[in-house]
Amino acid sequence: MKKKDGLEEFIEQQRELFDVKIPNEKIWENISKQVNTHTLRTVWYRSNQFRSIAAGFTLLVIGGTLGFLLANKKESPLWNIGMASKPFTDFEMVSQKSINEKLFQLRELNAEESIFSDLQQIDRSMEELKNELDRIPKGQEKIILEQLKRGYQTKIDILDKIIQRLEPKTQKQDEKAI
Amino acid sequence: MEQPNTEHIHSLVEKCLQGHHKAQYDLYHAFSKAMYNTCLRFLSDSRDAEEALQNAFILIFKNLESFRGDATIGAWIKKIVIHQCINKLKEKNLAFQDLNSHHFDIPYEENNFEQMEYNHNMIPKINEALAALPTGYKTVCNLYLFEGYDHEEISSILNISVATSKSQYSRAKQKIRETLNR
Repeated sequence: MKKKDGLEEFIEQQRELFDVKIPNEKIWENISKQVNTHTLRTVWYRSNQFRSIAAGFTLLVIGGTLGFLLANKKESPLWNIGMASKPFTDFEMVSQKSINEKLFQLRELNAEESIFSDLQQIDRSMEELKNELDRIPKGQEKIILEQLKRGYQTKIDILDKIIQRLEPKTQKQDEKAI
Repeated sequence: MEQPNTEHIHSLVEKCLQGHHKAQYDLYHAFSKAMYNTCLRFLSDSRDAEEALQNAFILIFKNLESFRGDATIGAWIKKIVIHQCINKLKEKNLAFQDLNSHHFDIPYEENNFEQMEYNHNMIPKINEALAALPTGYKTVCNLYLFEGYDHEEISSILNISVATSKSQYSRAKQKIRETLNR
């Protein structure tokens, strides 16, 4: 290894004494402005991701509370006909049509009003997810769309289970009436 | 450069990654003075040095997630700061014209022991001598003498040959000594 000369040795030993100038505080202000716009966007996105997950979780909890979704779990009819891979707008259109038919069926079966208010809670969670679609950074929509698809699937599953439970009851009441 | 407490710096980095504003401020302040002086030595202009420091720290905070810890955070920060300085010199087309146009007929002094005695009073004069060097000499000299890079690394950073780096460094030191002897 090369032996250091006097200048090299002196600078190495006294290195800190060469750093005497202090940077202007406005440099930090500028850095902070730029960095925190970026950080806020990241944190905001992460919080939205959290909210999406939370909204998805709400859907599942409601499903569980109703006691229908988790018992005898089977694939939704929408999944069975390969709708999961379709573009979201197509998926939404088919799902909404199916939901409307089932809601109509529920009214026909004289379902309790509390069931409809629970279903409205799912609608609110899904509405929140849809609003996030407008705010999320470009290219990150996939997570939300996946959650929305799951939301529609969950709602259809719940409606199916409620109808299955109510139908025998209604049949018995009809038989009694006869 | 004064080495801040490693554990403290590590914890600051963690907090910065979680978006803590105060941790960003503390991390900046742990390194800003040394890095600003590095920028000044390379660029010799306070406005350019401020801009390089600012751009470097914006990059550092935006890319902190990519810091893998295979070097110290200080070394990682220094690398980014120096890169900003070199880019700034290139932008101004100042850096390497003198490196490329010189005749490298001055041999590299492997062991140049001079009789000069160095003391603290000479620091401002050394700084002045360094600032007065042509940009090419100054860049090589800063990288070797102050930032601790060897000639292999300098040749790769500046895209010059090892021989050029050695010869530029040798000339730079010669000029500094001449200034100090005046």
